[in-house]
Amino acid sequence: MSAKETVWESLSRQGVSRRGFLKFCAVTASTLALSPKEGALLAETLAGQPRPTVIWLSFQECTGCTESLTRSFDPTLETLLLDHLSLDYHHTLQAASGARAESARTTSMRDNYGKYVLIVDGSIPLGQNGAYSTIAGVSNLAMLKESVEGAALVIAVGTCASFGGLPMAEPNPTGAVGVRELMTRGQITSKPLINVSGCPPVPEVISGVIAYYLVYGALPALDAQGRPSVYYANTVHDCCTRLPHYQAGRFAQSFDDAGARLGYCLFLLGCKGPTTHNACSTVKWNGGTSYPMNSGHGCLGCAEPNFWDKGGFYNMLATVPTPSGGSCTAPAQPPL
Amino acid sequence: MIRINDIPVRVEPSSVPTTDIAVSIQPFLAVLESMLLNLIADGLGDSLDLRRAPLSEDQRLQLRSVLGSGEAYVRIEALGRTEFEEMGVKGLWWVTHRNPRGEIVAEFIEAAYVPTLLSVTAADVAEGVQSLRGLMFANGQAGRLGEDEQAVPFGRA
Repeated sequence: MSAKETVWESLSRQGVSRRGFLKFCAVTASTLALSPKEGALLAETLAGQPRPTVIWLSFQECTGCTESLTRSFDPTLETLLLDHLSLDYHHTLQAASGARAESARTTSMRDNYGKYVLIVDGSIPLGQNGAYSTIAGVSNLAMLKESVEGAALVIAVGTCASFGGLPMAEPNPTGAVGVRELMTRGQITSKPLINVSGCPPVPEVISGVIAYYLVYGALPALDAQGRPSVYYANTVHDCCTRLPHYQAGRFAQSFDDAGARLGYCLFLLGCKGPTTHNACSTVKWNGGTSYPMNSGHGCLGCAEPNFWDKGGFYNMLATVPTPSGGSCTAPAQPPL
Repeated sequence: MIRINDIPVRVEPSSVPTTDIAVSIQPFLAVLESMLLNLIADGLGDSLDLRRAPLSEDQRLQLRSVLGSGEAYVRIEALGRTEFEEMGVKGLWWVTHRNPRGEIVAEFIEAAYVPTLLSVTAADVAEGVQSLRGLMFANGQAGRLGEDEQAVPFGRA
């Protein structure tokens, strides 16, 4: 297959019909909070885009982010997009191994210098000169430093790559940091960076970010943590189905008690929803099926920095921020 | 392995008064009116993304009930099933996109003469002509008449 092949040509060759492609774009636009008219533009633009080269580097990670993106449903709209990127390097998905795999990576980086998308999952250990995590004898830091040079865009997938994640939890034995921290410190070249945090992130958020970049060739609006505002502007509390009970002062006292079964708020049971920005209660999980609070468990706060070290998952928040005031709906919707 | 669809679900009626629900969908009806007027004015369709609209399940059911059912129902299979249900309000279509496992991945109310995904493009028709010609050619080549048979002109029984 040609790397110059367009996204539509690639999908068509795989048997996707024009209707299937339009449907994919309509659903992706919906998850991106684009209006249906913008969805039509997405289809028109995406159809003619060449397949971008993607290098995916996995460092100190559990593979949960890859699992989130590739295991949701099969075949899926998300895997469709992933399959038809020119994914030239990915530890879990690639068939090659050893020297051949590394050669494929360096060749792809050289041939697409300045144009490839670099996706990183997992934190980067700095302790012991990076010896805690190496690939082909090369430390994660050294590999990232080399790979960032020719990247047009860097996407840090998951809380580990975004903020350090679980490996960074006290006492942070490996000296783990996220990609942004390395750019801030000047240890790697600064490039356009999107943080897609979550442990793991919602799969549609991952694919939506990629689709947005393919169509617009630019970063979406980002929040203070470098995350796409369209997905992370609201807290999961803002759009939670249990919010009316929170506002009415009705709280579950223990898991699965009578109040919990009636949908009472899980705040007293340690829910971190009020301080966690993510798309769980809007985009939801498992193709829009549900999300943790809807299923009876409080939010762990996994899309936020240092969520492992915030006093325990079942300890009640000491303070609750004032509501963000954001809408649970797409800003591009027709005005009501 | 128990799947999520194996978990029994009991639907309980809403405790919110019916009149409150009816009032709360008025803004959505106004939006749909605006979409239809734009369709008449410039011929361009539009859609209301139900996933992104602040609709509770009760409001969604009420909206569907108020709009009613039309005459047409179309189902296509493209990356999973998509259903187009004409509403009782002509020009409005309830579009439900499902993935290959049948789960709903998006829902829209589309204002259109014919929903976008249903229409066929000129390129599709041109491709259809080529396909048909291929079939005609193949049929002409493959058919060999027996001694007692007579050639039947194309298009006749």
